[in-house]
Amino acid sequence: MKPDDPVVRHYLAHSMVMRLATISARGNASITPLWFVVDRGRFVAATGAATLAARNAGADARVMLLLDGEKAGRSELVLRMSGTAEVRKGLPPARVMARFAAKYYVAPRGLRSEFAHARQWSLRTRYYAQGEAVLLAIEPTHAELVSVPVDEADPDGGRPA
Amino acid sequence: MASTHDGRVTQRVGVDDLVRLASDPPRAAIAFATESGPGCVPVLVRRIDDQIQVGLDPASLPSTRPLQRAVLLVDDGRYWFDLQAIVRRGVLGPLAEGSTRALVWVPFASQHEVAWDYGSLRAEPAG
Repeated sequence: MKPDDPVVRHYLAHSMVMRLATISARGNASITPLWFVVDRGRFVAATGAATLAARNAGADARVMLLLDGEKAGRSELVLRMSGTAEVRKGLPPARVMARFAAKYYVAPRGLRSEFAHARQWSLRTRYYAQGEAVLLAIEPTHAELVSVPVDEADPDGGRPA
Repeated sequence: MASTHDGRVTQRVGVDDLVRLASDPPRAAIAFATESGPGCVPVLVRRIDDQIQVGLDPASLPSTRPLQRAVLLVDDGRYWFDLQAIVRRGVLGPLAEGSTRALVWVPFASQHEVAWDYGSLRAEPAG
């Protein structure tokens, strides 16, 4: 499946968090949930330079990620994509920041979450100021649907609620 | 004079602080290294007594070599302050010989684990 396939576009439009798998220079795997937006055909995530995801992607650009399309409801299929990551120092450009804001902060549920934690906003500012920011820009090269295992003995249909 | 809350701001929590996520995760995945780069697959997780078990489709795993070392992620949340996650680094037990069913449960021996909860963001005491 190509990255511009309609199925891929559906998952991109309905996924809030990607699970990004990376490997270190020593070959150890890691997986991290990350917020992301799509910009000019790339997945873009902002994180800290010291995070395992950033350090691993800097050492080995090969990545694999999972998208659940969770906004469209529960599915027994997950989109798995492989690609290459580029790590750039600094904050995202304004157009990317605007996409993050629209997706996570000013969407109705995002706003509710933000206001419920208004007392922690200053802490979040301090949290981000503690380390160097980097941008992960991921160029997808391959996509496929993979099944979420189903436990037929589970009355909820197998997938944890 | 430094306040008692002038220390590092952290989202880190103990795994025991995320009981609901640990016991009933909305989603889970494992990651592993392959010869062609990182791999990952969605999985189920259950706990039998004190043993973590991972439910996976054997067909989704790389066939080139037995999978042993893996990282197990369970996470929940969509927005900044809602995200919770537990990451366990450990060893997957062997698949039963000739496993062909779409779901096989294998033990996962956790060797190192970290957890975070952005809703609990706080400043640690200084010093």
